[in-house]
Amino acid sequence: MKRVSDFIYPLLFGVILIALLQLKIIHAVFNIKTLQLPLPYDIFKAFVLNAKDFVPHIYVTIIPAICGLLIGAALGYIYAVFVTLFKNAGFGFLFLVTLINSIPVVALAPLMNRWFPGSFMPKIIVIILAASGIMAQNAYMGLNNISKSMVDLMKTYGAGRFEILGKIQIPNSLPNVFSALKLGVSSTMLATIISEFFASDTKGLGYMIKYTLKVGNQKHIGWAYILVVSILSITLYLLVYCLERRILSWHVSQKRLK
Amino acid sequence: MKKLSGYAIKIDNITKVFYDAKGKGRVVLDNVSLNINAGDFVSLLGPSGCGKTTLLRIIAGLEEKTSGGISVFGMSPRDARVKNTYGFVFQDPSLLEWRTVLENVCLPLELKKVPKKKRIEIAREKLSLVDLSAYEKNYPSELSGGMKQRVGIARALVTEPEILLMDEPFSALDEFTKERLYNDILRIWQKTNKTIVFVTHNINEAVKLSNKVCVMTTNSAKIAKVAEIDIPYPRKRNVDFINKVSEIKEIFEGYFYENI
Amino acid sequence: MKTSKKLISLSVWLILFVLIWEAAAMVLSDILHDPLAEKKVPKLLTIAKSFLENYQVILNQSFITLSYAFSGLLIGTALGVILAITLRLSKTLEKAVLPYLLASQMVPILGLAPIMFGLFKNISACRVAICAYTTFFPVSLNMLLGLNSVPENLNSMMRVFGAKKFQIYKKLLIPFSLPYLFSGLKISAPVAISASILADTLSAKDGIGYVIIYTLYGAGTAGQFWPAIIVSALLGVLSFFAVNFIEAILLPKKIRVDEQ
Repeated sequence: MKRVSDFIYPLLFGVILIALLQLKIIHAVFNIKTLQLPLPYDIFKAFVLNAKDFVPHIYVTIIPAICGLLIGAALGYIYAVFVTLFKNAGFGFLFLVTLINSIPVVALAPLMNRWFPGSFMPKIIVIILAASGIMAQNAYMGLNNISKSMVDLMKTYGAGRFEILGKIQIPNSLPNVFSALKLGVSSTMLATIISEFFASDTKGLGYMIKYTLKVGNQKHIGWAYILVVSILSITLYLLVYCLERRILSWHVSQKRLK
Repeated sequence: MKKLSGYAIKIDNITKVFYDAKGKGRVVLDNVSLNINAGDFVSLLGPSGCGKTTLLRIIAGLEEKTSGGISVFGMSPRDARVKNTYGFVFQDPSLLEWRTVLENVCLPLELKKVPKKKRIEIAREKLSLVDLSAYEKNYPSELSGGMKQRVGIARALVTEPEILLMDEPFSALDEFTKERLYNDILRIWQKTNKTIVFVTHNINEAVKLSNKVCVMTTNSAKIAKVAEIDIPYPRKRNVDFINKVSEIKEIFEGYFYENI
Repeated sequence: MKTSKKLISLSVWLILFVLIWEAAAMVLSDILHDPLAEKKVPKLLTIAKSFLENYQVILNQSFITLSYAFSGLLIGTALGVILAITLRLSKTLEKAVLPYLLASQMVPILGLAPIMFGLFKNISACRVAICAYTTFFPVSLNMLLGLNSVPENLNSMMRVFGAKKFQIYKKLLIPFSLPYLFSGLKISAPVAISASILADTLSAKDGIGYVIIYTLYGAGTAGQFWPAIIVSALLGVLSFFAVNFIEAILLPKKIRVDEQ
């Protein structure tokens, strides 16, 4: 059971922060003009008034994000199984994947723009790369972090390599799959937004954030877009989280939450 | 400095109630009274959940009593703690992993702002008391469980406390290590004449070491019996020893059947 | 797995990668006669040559990016540690702020960095602020995790030996949290580099990110594009290893916690 104070304090903090902004106290302390840091009410107004304009941008951003996350995760898992089955050959491969994954999105996005035509393809490739790297590393850990006694038990019953994989290693990797998906949500959103910073297209939440925040009198709209991105990412994260709780109800990490 | 006569710890009608999140109370200690003489080796013996550790933590001033009185050489536990009356040996050795053995033993003196040269001198002396002089530069992760616990004992002795509080210090060790630590702790006790309060769930251990055993059971939250053990040291497993163990075991008969 | 086998596996894959790259470059330029072949997948020799021709510019610009990233990382880390300690000191404040810190993990913080554009008039300050802001969240969250992971027995131990609050922080909580701080830094350092490159591309007139964007859209020396991409990728990787290296120097291996 969660106690009331667990909700009250964060809520109170948020309210106080918003009040300090709205009453221009923070502006006064740091000597910032409202043109630089818009008032919460103006952001809220922009959010409500422009809600209709947001929708096409949301589509442009969220569809490649979700597709890229799913495709990347699936690819990453296949990598991990491959590396698990062929330890020697796999080592170098996993290293290469990790290396490519550590290239900053900021450098990757313009490169993909050069490689692929349009705005959808470069975007989704960047996302797939980001998501598959995270999944490959996490799934590999889950597939290989198994107790030796479990493997010995399987062997005493005459199980082969693939039975051990199917009955022990893959189930054991599921918690890691979900933590990779949770990490993946914010990094795919990031990859999407950054790609849109560089895309030639003038659609998408990333483009709008970059554009509106640079223009003097549209900053409150920019903040409204930031609000939209934050809400979308948190929703996506919670979606993965709920899925995890349904599928992994047997796992210890879920027990204390009940 | 040694107070060989009189009470070291006086406990009068102490009650301790724990409340859970829903506000429901559970009585862990119910009107417990106990006097511990200076120079005594007292064991608090009982199964897990009988309140023996709680009693020790109240003596140490780590836990507040719900009601009743307690005095340690005429002081409150908190004052006694500030005046370095206690040395504490924990179940888990509770060493700081990033400090060497010597630095770990120095810690209590460091907290008292004893000059560096002085504290190293004292720490070395206590380390030799537990035969660990050769390991002073090692890190805890390089020691065995028994050695870690000996470092814990050396650390507890470093402030020259009058009372040594020990919370199941040997329960995680194997039989062979235990036997050797029994000898260490008895030697230290006889040499320094400290008052020792020793929490354990091992009947043999209590009879082997202490001159008084306070038997606590889970159902009553009281001290069921204080048994005097007058077998001369060093204690071997002779008839007297086994009779004493059986005598104490009988107190728990009811407890054994309840849990079958 | 033996080191020699690892090396063989690694070199086979790297050679494979190089071969595929070269083949793609060949197909694009010699078979498909793509006019943009030189820009899309240049031959590795061409990249090496253009790096040698432009290395001074590339290194100078990377140094600019690196110095903004480093200043931002320092400021973000300092603020993150201060916040974590403040939250540890006040349970109420922790309850109020922690949900927001946790939510920061679900949101693409780096993508929201253009927020800083309005707040700072000075473009240099803005670039540092973007790096600081993106590194702040992982550092503060990991540091707080470390402070809250200190086992209760160590806390009790410090209290028994009479440590004051300040001493508990100095001698127990902060040293204990250092490995956690480093795992936060391992996340933050590459992020700081990314943030700095991003800041270059968004508004600045120098830095490695600026070189990438400038040459991408056809302006400037086209040969600088590929070296700049490779160097910026290396910067991210190197920053991770740099943190590992510093950790290895500061924390002896035996006391490091495993990577979470």
